[in-house]
Amino acid sequence: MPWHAAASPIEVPRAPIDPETESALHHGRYVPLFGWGATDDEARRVVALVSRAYSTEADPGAMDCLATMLLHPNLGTRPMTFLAEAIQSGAAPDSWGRVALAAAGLLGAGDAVRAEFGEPLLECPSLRANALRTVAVGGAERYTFPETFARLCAAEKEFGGTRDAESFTALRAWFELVLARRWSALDTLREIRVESLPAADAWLVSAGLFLVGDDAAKSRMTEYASLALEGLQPVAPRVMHVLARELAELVSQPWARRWDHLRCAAAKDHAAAAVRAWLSAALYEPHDEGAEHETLGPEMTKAAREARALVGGFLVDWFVHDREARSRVDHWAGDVLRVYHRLHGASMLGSALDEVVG
Amino acid sequence: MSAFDDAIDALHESIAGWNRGAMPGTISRCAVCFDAAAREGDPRAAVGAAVARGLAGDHEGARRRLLETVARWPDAAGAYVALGMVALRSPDVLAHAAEASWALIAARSLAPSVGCIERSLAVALAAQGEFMGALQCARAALAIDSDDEEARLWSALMRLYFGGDVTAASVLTELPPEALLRGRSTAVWLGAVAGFYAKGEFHEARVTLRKAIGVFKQGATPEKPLVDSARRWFRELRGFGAGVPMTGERWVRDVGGAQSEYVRTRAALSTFRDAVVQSGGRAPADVVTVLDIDSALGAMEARARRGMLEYGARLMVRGFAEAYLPMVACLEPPPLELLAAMGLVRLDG
Repeated sequence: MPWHAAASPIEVPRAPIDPETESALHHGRYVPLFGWGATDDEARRVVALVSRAYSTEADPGAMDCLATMLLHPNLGTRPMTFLAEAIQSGAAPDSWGRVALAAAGLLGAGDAVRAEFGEPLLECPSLRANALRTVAVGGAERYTFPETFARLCAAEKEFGGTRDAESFTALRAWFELVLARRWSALDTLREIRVESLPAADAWLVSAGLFLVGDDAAKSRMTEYASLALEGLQPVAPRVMHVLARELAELVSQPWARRWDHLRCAAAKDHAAAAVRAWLSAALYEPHDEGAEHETLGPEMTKAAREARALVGGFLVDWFVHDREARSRVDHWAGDVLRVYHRLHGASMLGSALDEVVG
Repeated sequence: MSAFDDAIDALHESIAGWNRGAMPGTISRCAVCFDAAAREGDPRAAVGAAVARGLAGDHEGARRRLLETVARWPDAAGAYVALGMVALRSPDVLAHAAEASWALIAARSLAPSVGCIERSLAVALAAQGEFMGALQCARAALAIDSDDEEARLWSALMRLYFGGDVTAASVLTELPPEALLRGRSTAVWLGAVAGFYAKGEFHEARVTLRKAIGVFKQGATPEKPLVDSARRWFRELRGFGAGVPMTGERWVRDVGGAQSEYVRTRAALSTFRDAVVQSGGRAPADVVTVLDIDSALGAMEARARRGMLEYGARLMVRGFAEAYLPMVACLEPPPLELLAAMGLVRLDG
């Protein structure tokens, strides 16, 4: 049965979620976000959904249930494609797109759903940076951190010279520091002017610095989280409590997290990196071999090319053999990214709220 | 005289007149004679026909013929020896090292305790990167013939780069004069380059490299890859600096400098250790203790040292094989004992 043929498909579920609503959501008897088209009412409905999920009466499962409504099993991403086309043609303001992306982040959608949901909005130039954050930042769900990192590197190049460039540098460096344990990324994070970043990005940078033992990072994390949630209290009263609890969980064991991160850093293949450094040194050092031979080109021996190929990849630095420590750091990173998406969603919703609700 | 005997004579004649390759007319005659003998169903002739083509430069044709011979006569050790030899004399040795290894392992199990098979297997395993096995084979070859300078060369290289035994450098530097007296080509000087460099005698190393590649014409296109390959290997050898990369004062340089990931991870662990010490019990003992951090530091260093030896060995020994074996294949014919192991000799009386 097509979704729209169902009698009274759910538009905004009640909260707390009752068994009938849960069953209806489970069987696809609901209207996905922007399922009625790119209209003003739909944008308001999205805000209502988020508000319902974070209402004081909502039960803990409400967010998961409402996240179901981002996509529909029969319609897939078509509503978001229509919305993206409407925004591109000027028939819809980009604030509607921001509201949609905000809902995906705030409702705590997983990597795969978030990526599928946000992908059509990548086509909108005004929303591309935010859509990329929604789509590309993740990886904990299916251990796709290397793919995420590659996408962030590409985004950093793409946004070079724009005001989003520093944000994507920060995101890329966060992945490098936390998951690839590269200390050059720590220098990058310290050099970044955090004040110029959006609150969620600045919060993520602070979380990275917290992991490596920066004493002031914890208070900065609280500060940036409050900044991201500014103005959202009337619409989503419970958002502060939910995020406070998740934040407390993240910073609850600083010694253990820092130790796990250092264990992963120590477990990296430093020997392979050293060999790479030797090979580079050999290439760039001037060698006096006499005048009877012409200058040797930069090509290496086949053995050296193979040795060089062993290192340098994110995967090699991330997938260290200390499985226990790696798994805990990955888990922590996944939790951090979930909070990041909530904060990013909160920021976007905060900025679009006046335009949508008035 | 049979076609096989004719072929053997032609093969030995072409080898006797070896000048950066077999004598073209003679090796062609040899191949034709071996083909005639092979038609009578002699596996040695089939091996000889393939070897003649390999020595004439048709490595792929030789390989194909030898694989057919192996399939037809799986118990003939000579075919496996020939397959190993052809693979080790091919221009891209590293690509064929694995095939040479399995062929020579098969040959060894069919004909155990043959010095030249053990030695060739040592070379093949070294080119493949299986250093422990290569060292064992080189030692087995030396146990059979203690004067085997090729086995001594590979054994010393493995000891130097895989085992971190600097005393092996002396063996490498002393070997070439003896080997030249036994009729080996100037390619053996290449091993001495590694020896001199490991001892920190940089000028000697450079001079020795020139001795190794000096026989080749400057700018001559067919020989240029051989010269460049040796020079590239030398350049990468220089990247390591003098000696094996394990000495204390060179450690920071060896791990990539003060800004390397190793040094910074070590610094971060030391900072963390200080923080744990100064925390006054705030750091939970069930999570981390000073002993845990010390243990992580020690393990990291030990792993890095071991890894550097392994990667260094991989790079240096395989790079050496890549440069040295084509040079030997160009300058030297296959040794007679190897031809004997293939059954390509005439037994008088």
